[in-house]
Amino acid sequence: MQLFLQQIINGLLLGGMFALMSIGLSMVFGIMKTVNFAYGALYMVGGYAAYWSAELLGLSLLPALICAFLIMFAVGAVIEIIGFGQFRGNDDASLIFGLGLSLVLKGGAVLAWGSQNRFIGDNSAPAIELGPFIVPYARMTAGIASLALIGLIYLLIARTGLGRTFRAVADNAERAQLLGIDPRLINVAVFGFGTAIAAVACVLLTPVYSLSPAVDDTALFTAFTVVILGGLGSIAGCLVAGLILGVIYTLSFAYLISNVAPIVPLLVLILTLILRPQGLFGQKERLA
Amino acid sequence: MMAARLTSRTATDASPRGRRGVRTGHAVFGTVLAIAALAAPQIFTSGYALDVLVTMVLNAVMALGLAIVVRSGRMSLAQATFGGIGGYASGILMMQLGWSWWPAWFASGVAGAAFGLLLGLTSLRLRGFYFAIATFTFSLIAIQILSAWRDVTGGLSGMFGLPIPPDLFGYDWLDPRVYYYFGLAVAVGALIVCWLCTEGSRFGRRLRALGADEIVAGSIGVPAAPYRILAFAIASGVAGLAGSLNAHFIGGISPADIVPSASVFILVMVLAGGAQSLWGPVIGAIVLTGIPEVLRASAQWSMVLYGVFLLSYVYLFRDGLVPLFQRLAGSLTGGGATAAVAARADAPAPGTVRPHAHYRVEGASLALENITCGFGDYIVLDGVSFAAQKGEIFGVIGPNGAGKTTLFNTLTGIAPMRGGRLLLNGAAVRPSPSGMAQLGVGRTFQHPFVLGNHTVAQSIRVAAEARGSIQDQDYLDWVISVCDLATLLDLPTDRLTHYQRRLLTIAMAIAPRPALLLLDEPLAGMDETETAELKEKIAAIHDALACTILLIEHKIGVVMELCDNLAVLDFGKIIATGEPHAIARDPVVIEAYLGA
Repeated sequence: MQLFLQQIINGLLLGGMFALMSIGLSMVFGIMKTVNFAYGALYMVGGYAAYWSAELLGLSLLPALICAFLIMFAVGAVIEIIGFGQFRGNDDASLIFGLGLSLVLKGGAVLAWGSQNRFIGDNSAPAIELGPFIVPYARMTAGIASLALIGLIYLLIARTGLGRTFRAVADNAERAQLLGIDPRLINVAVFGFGTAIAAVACVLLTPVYSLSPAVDDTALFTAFTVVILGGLGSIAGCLVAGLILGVIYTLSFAYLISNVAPIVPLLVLILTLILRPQGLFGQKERLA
Repeated sequence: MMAARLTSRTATDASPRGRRGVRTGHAVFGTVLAIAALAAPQIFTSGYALDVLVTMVLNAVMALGLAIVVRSGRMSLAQATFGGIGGYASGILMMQLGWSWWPAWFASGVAGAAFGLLLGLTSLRLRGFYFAIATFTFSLIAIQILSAWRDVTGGLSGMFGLPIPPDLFGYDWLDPRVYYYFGLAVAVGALIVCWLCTEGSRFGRRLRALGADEIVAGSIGVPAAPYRILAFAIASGVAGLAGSLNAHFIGGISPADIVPSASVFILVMVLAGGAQSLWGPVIGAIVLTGIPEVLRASAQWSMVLYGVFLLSYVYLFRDGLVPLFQRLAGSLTGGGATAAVAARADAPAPGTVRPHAHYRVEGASLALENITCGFGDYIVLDGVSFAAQKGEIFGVIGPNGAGKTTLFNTLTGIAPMRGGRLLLNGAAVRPSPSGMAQLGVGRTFQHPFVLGNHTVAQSIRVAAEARGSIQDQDYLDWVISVCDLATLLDLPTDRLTHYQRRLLTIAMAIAPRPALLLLDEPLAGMDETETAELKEKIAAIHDALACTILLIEHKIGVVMELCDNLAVLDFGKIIATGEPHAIARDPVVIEAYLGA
């Protein structure tokens, strides 16, 4: 029983990390309906932005994180302006643009920075014992940071004036324009913010997953699974789906043959797509 | 005799000049490519070059298969996976079950098609990105299963030492040129299949219409799901055959061969070459297999290169390389563009073709009994009942938002019918978009939707095939004439004016000689001249076909003149039915719609 509870705790922590990985994609997907196939690559580049800020400028983790946030906000804004923003309403074009961008970024990252695993700063953090449960420090921080970030984003979108404009644009960009909101500006802000959040997620998860050009696939796939399972544009859905997926993942690795376990999350995704493509919290109409 | 006449003088074909130009272009290009393909192994004789050539030819087969899916309006990220399934299938059959090569190779195609069918059945109702993600997930699942099923597949390291096929006409497969020439023959086969799935057959033309616009395709009788599933199965079968050849050529197969990026590369070839053009996927495969090899690029540089190709595709040549070259060639020679707008010499002049008596159809009678339609809690149609007699023009009028278009959508199966009965010629029918078209119901839409990537002639042709094969040529000449489209036949639909698009949608709706024609605000956005012309045309169509017409229209004067009977819809309910002049005096109708 204790082992089972330990697995559940591990699963929830992993789920928190999954949610953190996905929140940037969820925002962009939910508000702008933009399919961003370059999300994984941008996530990975965000990690390197922090890594090189720390290495070259000698920054410690937190300033490097802020630095990466700012850099990736700008990168995201530029990509929205010259890229996705040009193809709004044409899903195929955004899909292809995203695929192209991710190939360039990933290939470029290997060429420029090599494919070895890296860590940002010190990574010899200990595990913490909470009564009978052992929780690795890195996973703990990631899990907590993810909850905090999701809470913040939820407040930003649900409670602030800026959040209201975001939602107005998400709901009906044309009508928002009639109210004096410039949807293009909002889209640039949201895309920049989503990309910057992805960078933060990558940095926070680096102690667990390390940093290499290969993290993009994990991030992309996890994020798509979480966003689709949770439902398009639902912040709460993102958190819940992340936690569900984390628990499923951990339990299937604990109780199934190790080479069957990786299939379980994939099955969750494909069954969601087939049976409930709008996800747990999404509305069916939003699919159209 | 009849068939010969139809093919020899098909008004719905492009102009003789333009068509001949395109045909000559295809012939010249095909010959050059064929000679180059046959000669290549004699020129590039190193083992390395031959390896590249074999890869190129097999990639072309994969790309040709995928192009069928892309043309049906879906993007798959699993083409390499189906290739891998083919490779594993023939490998397992030969190494573990002792099959010989030819049955095993054939089975690899069947295995690819079977898995394509499976994935198609489960996920083709998903659109755009969701479908792409479903195929992506499918390929990840395939990788996991193939890695985990060690006893049979060899796990992560895969299978190696795959048997070499038996000598072919005395040639030993150890010589890569045998693979090359055999692959070339398969590629020619794939090219023919691909052509059949686009222009070369009724199935292909209708599939292409489906890719251009699902709603319009439904209105001309193309059932989306079965067509796409079949297309997907064909594409996956082709991939299976190519994948099997590739696995036996390199002597092994492992999960690393079917990673999603391999599938993305195939998709890049299709798109970069030009998914809509016949040679596009082939050129895409040649260019994108060749360039990294010529540059001796590493895997990373190839990745960047493919990425750059995709980005430039989105920005610079969204139709693909082949159409880009065609345009360049056209602008250099000064041909092409002018040929495309030239009128057919023997095109019937507007209004000159007289309709024959045999154009007349048995008009359908239509009865609605308590039809209800709603979305969520919102009821749009609330117990609508009326009946239109055989051969009459029946008008449906009412204020904006009354539910008129939803009524048409319900009748054609686009909007859900919650309750009530629909009787066509006295028999109850359950509406579905393509099913209604096959029952002889034609329709136009309030917004004149046309098929993208089609010319006017192609649009009319594919519409004429709604119920069986292409129909009476005289009739189509008359359709073209009555809709004033004779001079526009070779024009791409996206270059038509609003009025011309409207005419085309009407021509497409009447091309299969419908028994019942639904016209949704045909006069919307027309100026006075156009309104007058179009009114004459509707009257002429009705005279010639004697079909039943249901007409939604706001221009009340036209309605009064054309219609035999009217129904007035307001807030989803019928508030009055009857003859136009009785309706015009009805105080309820005046209150709700007509005004004092």
